Amino acid sequence: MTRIFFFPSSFNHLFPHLKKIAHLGIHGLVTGGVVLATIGGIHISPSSNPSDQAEGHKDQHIGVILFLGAYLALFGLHLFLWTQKLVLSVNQLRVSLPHNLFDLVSSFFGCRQILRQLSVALPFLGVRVIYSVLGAFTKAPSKFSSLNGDWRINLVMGLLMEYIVVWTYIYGGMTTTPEEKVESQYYLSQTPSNEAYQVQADGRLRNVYKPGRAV
Amino acid sequence: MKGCLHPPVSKIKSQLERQRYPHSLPLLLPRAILPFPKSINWVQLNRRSPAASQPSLIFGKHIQIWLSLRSTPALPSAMDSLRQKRVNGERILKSRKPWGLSFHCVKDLAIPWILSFRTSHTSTTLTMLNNFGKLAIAEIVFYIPVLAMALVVTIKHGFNRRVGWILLFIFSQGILPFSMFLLSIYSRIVSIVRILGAILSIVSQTSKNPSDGLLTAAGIVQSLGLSPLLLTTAAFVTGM
Repeated sequence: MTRIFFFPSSFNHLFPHLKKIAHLGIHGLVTGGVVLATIGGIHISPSSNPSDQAEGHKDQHIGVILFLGAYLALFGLHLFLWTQKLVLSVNQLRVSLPHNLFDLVSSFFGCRQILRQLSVALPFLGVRVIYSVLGAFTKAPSKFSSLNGDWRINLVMGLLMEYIVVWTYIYGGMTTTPEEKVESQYYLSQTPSNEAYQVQADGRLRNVYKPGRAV
Repeated sequence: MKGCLHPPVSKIKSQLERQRYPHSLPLLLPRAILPFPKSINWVQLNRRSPAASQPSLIFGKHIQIWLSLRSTPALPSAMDSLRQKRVNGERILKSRKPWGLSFHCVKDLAIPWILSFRTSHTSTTLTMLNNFGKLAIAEIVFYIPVLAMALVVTIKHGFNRRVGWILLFIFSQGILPFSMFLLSIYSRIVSIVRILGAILSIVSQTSKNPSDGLLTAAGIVQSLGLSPLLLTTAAFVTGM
């Protein structure tokens, strides 16, 4: 199992490129979805004729499918990152895949924080995507419409899910260290240590040299 | 001084102490429920004429003292001298609490506004809205802090990234510092889109003859709300 999921170390240098390709692909899917949803929305408007409206519905269906594809790609990528958390994490403690519940929990909390946030947010995002898929694919007076459907379903599956996802990300943004600081800490930790200085938590150097101290 | 009230020494001491630490005592009890004024000016009370404290009725003395105490101003405290301001050569006190948008400020505005829902014109606006319109109002209220926090995250993680060779080195090693920059921008777009959609749906419900364009725009914005969320997640996953 471990052998299947963990890539060899030669994979590491490919990772940035793979990342770029995945990012472009997901962006393409989402952009296509946006364009199709907009065109479909314009076609659906009450003043247009029925053939245009049918076309608009088709456009919206394709747009929603593109959104779903983007979500599935994101979910797959997220699972892949879980298998690659050895590569990702700075201070990695666990090497093996989880075998029992304790291992699972401890690997969850031993991992990089971003990945945890993602794992928390993605199920809620999935519910939101499913809601919009249902709203697009059910017939016109449907419960899942975000404009004239059931408001309770809209509240729970639409607004609440979005709100949870957004606050999860903002929490992640507030609690993670900015990239530049991570860089500088990493750089300072790699430089040959000068005994007179200590690297502080914020990345700055603190002079700890005392004349009487043995160096 | 016959017929004068003799202030206990402890009172004077405590008053001097209060003068030194002006805000230590009033925190204990709110002034509204005190049966006597906040600061009893024992020194000025002594200087009053003896006739003022003559017992005429059984409780008249106490009423007189009460009235005189109400009329006498408190001793100027140390903070008052700091708060003094000169206007046309005359010394006046600045406002006691120069808080801008404090809790009390918000409370004093918000509570009458909420209470006015029952009777005022706001209720007519609310009855015009269906449940989706009310949800839209809630959405606006709930997404404003999201907007603020997303701005804070953007400021925290910087507007422009500095990519040097060290970063390239780290990337090539496979240790991946995720960029939160795009993420924060996207989350701001999410909140803006949500607020915009909510406003559009409210407008389309409250106007008597909503135009087709308005309805179309509301529908489009509602369906587009998902895309910045997905892009945010993409920024999270790929760190770009």
